[in-house]
Amino acid sequence: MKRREARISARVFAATVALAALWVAGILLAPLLSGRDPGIPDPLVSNDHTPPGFKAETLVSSLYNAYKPVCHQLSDRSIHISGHPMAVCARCFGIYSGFLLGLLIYPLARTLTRTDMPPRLWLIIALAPAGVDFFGGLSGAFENSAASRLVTGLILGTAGAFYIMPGLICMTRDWRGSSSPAGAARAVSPPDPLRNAATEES
Amino acid sequence: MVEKPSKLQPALVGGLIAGLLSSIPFINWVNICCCLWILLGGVVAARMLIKRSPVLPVTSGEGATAGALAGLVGAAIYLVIGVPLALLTESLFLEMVRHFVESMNNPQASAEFERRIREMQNQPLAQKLAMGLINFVWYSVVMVGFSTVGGIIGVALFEKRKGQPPPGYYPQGFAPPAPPAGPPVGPPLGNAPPPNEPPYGGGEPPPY
Repeated sequence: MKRREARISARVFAATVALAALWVAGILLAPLLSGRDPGIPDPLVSNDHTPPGFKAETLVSSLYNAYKPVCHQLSDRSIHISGHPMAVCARCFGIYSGFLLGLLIYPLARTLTRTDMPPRLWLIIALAPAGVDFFGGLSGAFENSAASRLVTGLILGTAGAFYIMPGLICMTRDWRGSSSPAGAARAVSPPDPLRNAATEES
Repeated sequence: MVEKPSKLQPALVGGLIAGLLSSIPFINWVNICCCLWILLGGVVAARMLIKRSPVLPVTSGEGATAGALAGLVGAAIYLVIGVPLALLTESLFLEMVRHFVESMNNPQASAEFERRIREMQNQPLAQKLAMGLINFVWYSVVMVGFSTVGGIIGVALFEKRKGQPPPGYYPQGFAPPAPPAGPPVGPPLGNAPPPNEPPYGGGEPPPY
C-alpha cells in the first residue's frame, strides 16, 4: 500500500514538473523564436509576431495567443529577450518560474507522500510582498519595477508549489483509490471510542 | 457511517461564478491577472465544500477535485454564454482597439491593425469555427487547471481542522455505539468497597 502511494506520488510529481517546465519553456520560446529576426515589430504595437520567411510563424503567434487568456501581455510590463517581450508579464513569469523552482526544491524539503499542506500563514506571508507591490503600484504610492514584480512573483510561486503539490498528489490518490475495489469499499465511519480505547490499551 | 458531502453543488456554484464572470465582456478582463475569476470559482467551490462537511475535515485533494469540477462547469457556461457574447460584442471590441491604436499615433501600427482586421473579415467561416473551437478547448484546459489550483488554495485558506474529528464527537443523527454484549469485564461487584470507604481499606494497593 505504501509503495503504491509512493509510486503514485512520484508520478504526479514528475508530471507536474514536466508540465510546469513546458509552461515556462513556452513563455521563453516565444520571444526567442521571434528574436531570430530583429526586424519583427513589437507585439504591443502589432499582433504579428511572425519572423518573415520563418516557417514556424504560426508557432510563434500561437505561443503568444496561448498565454493571452492568463496575462495582459503588456510589452512595457514584460521582460524582453532579443528585443521581444516574453509571452507573459514580469510578475506572471516570476510566479510560474517560482512555481517550477518550488517544485524542484520540494522533494528536498518534504517527502512526496505527504498530503498535508504547510500552515496557511506561510501562504499569506508569501502573498504579502506581491500584494504590496501590486497595490502600491496601482495606487501610485510607489513606482514598482520589473525586478520587484519578478522577485515578488517568484516568492509567491515558490511558496505556491508547497501548497499545490500536496493537493495534486492527494487528488490523484483519491481518484486512484476510489477507482480500485479496495478504495471503493473503504467507508468513512465516525470514530468509535471503545475501539480507540482498545487500540490504545493494546 | 458518515458520507462525505457531495461536490456537485459546490462545483456548480464555483463554476457558475468562474464561467459567468469570464463570459461577461469587460468584466472578464480581470482574468488577465492570473485568471483571477477562475481562481475565485475554485476557491468558492472549496469553501462551500468545507461548509457542507461539518464532521470530517476537507482534504486538499477534495478541494482540488471540487475546483476541477468547477472549472469544467465554468468551461461549459463559457461555451454557452461567453462565446455568443464575444461574437456579439466583437465589433464593439474591435472599434475600441482601433481607437486605442489610433491614439498611439503610430502609422505602422494602424496599418498593421487594419491589415489584421481585413484578414479576420476575409477568413472563411469554417476556419473561423475551427479557430474558435481550438481556442475554446485551450481555454477549457486553462480553466480546469487554474480552478483546480483555486480549490487547493481555498482549502489551504479556509480549512482550519486537521486530521480526524475528536474522539467521541458524533454528528446529529448518529448515536454513539452501545457497549458490547457479554459478561461484564473487571472485578465482581461483590468485592467493590462500600460507599464512603477508601479502596484497599485505606492502605497501599497490593503489588502486582
